[in-house]
Amino acid sequence: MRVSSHLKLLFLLLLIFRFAESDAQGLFQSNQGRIHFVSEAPLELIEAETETFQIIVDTVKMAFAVTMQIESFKGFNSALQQEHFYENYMEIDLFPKAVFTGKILNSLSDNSKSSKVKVKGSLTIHGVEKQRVIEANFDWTEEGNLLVEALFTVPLEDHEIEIPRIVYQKIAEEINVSVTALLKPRN
Amino acid sequence: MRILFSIVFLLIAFNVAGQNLTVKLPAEYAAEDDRPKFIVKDEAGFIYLASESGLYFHDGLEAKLIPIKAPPSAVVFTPGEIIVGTETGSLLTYHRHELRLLDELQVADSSAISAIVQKGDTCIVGTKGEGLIILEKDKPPRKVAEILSDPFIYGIEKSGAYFLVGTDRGVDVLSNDLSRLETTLNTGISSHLAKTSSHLFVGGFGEGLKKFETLDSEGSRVYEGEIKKITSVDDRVFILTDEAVMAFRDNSHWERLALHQGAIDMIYLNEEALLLLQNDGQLTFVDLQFSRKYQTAKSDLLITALDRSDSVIYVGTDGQVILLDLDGIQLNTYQLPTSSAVVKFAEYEGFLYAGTFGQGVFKINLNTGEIRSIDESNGLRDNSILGLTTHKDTLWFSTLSGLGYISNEAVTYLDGASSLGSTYIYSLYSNGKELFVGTDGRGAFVRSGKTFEPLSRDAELQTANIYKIAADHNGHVKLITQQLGAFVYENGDLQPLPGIGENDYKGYTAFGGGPGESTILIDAEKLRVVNGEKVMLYDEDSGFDSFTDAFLNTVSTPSLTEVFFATGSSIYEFSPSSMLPIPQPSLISVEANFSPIDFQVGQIKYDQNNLVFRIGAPWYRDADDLEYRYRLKGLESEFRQSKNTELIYPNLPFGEYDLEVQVGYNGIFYGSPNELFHFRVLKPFYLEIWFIALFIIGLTALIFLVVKLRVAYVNRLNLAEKKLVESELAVLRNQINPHFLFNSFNTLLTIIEPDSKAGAEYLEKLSDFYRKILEDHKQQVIPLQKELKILDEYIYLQKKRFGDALKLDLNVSEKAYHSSIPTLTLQLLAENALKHNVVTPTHPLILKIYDEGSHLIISNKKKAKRKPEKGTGTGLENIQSRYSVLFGKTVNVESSGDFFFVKLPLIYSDHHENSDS
Repeated sequence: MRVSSHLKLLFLLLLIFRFAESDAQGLFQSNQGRIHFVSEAPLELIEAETETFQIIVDTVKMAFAVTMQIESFKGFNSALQQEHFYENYMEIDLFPKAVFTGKILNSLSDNSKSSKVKVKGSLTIHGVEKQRVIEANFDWTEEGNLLVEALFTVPLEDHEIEIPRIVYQKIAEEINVSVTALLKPRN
Repeated sequence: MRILFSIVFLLIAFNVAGQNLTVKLPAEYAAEDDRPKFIVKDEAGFIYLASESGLYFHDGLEAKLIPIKAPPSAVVFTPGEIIVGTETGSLLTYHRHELRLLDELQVADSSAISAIVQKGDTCIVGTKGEGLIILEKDKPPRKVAEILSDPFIYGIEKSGAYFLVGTDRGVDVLSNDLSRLETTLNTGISSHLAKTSSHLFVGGFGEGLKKFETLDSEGSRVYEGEIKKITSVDDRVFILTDEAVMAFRDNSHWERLALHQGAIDMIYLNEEALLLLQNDGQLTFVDLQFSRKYQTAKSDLLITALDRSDSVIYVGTDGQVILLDLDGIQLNTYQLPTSSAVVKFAEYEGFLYAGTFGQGVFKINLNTGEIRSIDESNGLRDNSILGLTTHKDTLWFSTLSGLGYISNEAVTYLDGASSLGSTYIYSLYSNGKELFVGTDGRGAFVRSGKTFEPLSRDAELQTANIYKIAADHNGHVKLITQQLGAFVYENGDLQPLPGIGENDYKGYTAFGGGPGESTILIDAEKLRVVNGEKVMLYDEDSGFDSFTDAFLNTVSTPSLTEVFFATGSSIYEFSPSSMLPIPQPSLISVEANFSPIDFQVGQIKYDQNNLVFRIGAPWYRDADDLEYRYRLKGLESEFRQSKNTELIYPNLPFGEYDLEVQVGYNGIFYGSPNELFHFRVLKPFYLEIWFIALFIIGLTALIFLVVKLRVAYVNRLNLAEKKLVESELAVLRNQINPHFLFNSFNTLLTIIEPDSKAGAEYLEKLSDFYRKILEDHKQQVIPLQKELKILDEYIYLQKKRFGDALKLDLNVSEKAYHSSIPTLTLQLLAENALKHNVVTPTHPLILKIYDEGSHLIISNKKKAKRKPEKGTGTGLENIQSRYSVLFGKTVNVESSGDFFFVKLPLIYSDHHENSDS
């Protein structure tokens, strides 16, 4: 189940990137971005962020794909915390990537204003795929770039991330994630 | 997680007391790790519960699991089939009554099936990712995805000439043949679609719920939050949210019907109930006749008094008066100066008076919030209020110390009303015209002029404890006693209220009039609504907080048809749409000759006429206790009554039938019998008029044929007889032919002279010959052997005359000896030969007789006489006709060169052999 969904996602990604090569119109890809997550538990605040991830948006087909390496997340409170996060919760040996692919449900306004859109897709974290609908902001910059911002939560239970009893007061059951990325037209 | 799929009949209205409310599906039907998904109802009212492992069919008596290899995601019912769509994109067709798999079709590549719509022979399937798939009879599946706003489909609704398809990007309005996209409603994720006769409702994630008047209009948002499920019936719309089930009232606002935790699906069951599927597999009823108007934030709050005016509800608790509008919205709260339970309300001169048990009466100015106390300092003898009511511009009260009225905050006791004595006045009631008083141990009174007259002349009623007096919505004043049951005040006297038995009033906590003629009473932790003999029963399992401290409002005017009552911290509105939910009988299965048949067809073959009907009343608790009255109209005129749910009718004659069934409890049957099954046992073909006609024609033809054959046979026999007589005659004529006799005697004479011994011998042979002829002439046929003997005698006689000129050359096989031959044939032929041919030593006549193949041949060399002897001339002809008549065979007579042949067919038959003996 996990493996097959993973393969499916990779396949989807491949499809989109392939498409990108053949016809670049309407395709936007990120050069700069930030994914930040916060776990606000009663006893401990964990936060980390990454700036190395890939995001691509197809404004013609109204599709998107985001993929990242879990181990690119940096900025934990301690090395131990980071190790716990990698090894115990995310099990990066087994599931090194997180992927979110899907479609943009609302039409994007002309290259001038910002639009609040819903995106729907499958979010794969910890090898578990979930159908998610997330609200995002798509802003057109003056240079014709696309600034994407999204805030959403990831319930750990949804992705079968188990929290050991001892530390359950240290990790929130829902992780808040924020994504910001500046996408440039692909040439 | 093990799911029992227990079905708890919460909130179901019923008509008999003391029934157990819980029915559970047998645990063995539920697989480990099974999870419920959704519920569907077929047109007969049976519920199907879809789970990860399959589809549970519950007929009200027992559950059957139809295992399905992939989790079902959509179900539709056709007259003969159940069509199940799965999460893996298959369409499985099951036999409707035998529940066996008929057909399996992979329609989607991998997407789950979200909707199935049957339209004639066409099946329209919605998928979560691959658009619509259209299945037409004898055609390959056709995909419709390009024209859709999105291929991810949540639901399909038929609306007039259009199909409405809810997708991730809105609602696509498709033409009737699904070939054209007319328009798309811009509703975002449209996971919930519902249609009423005048509106379309569309809801989805993050979109709330929108209402559309027309398909080209802008919708209006009627609900903001997330909805889990929407269902509509006629003009009623219900939504399921995370916390509650709500009904859309008057096309404008939502009314909360019931709170729930963890319901995942909902269907409309009948006019009285919605059925909820909980995430643990339990099924819960939501009674549509009740709605919870108000629930206090503090669940430990106990409502102790409830009353209502035309526009507001007064709620009394310990030290508080709360004002609500009729929709349950809190308008105001009035904190009383002291803590004491409010027990009675009355409106008087623009003020609200709240009577307490212990702190007297509080006069509340609803506008300013000013509260004034009326207690012992104002003249109350004690502060425990029992009754409080406004009657004809007077505020009447009763305390433990007696009855009186309050005017300008001054208290006056009515000590002069001596007829009341010095008892407690438990209840005061005014219907606007008369003031009724209920006492402790002295019965009920009505105020007449300045005095109080007993309501009843009955001695027992005059010593009864009257707890509560109220009126129903039709204005009938009713009261309940401690010992004698309930009564209605009619024609100046008290009449017992039917439907309330001796045990029904013990430990009552509330009593009041209901809609129409009904009475509502709460006792022994049960709420009853009684109307005539019909009783609806609710208990705490029906979803109410508690019945131990319940209060009914007593305001009863025909314009206010609802009843409000409070239990615990909740206020319920009760507005029954129909007084009694009648268990509806349903046909579960029909077996003909012990095998299930599709009873939608309605025609049964004449040799399949041993019928077993299985009936039930689905979704009524304790189906085992139901009784049925039934008859098969067309066979019987009287109804039969039984608890049996299997009705057996063997060997039904052909004709039209109606199975009529009525359901009841304890011998009481309501409503009229339901016609469950109209069917026809077909006429057997052998009773059809065409068959009878054909049969008669055939029979006539057969008789005609037999008679004809018989006549022909008899005719032939007669002819044979005639021919025999003819031939006999011919032979006899020949034998007594003077020529023959002359020749014979001449011969005899020539012999006798030289040798008298030879003469005697000749004479002997002659007489022998005649004897044999006489012996056999009656027989039609004789064996050839015998015939040859006669011929031998004849030849001997003739040989004496012709000497060696006549020769018989006999060469007949052993087999031919046993054949048959018409009597005297050979002799006739020999005579013929002698007659026509010259017989001299130079021209001897050699008569050859031999058999060749299937013929016996008699031949001789021709040497015709110049003047043949005179004969009858019928010899050959006679032989021919005898062969033809007797055997249907021909005798060939040939003249070939010098020879003359007569070919007789050889006849072999048992009959003829027998005649030999």
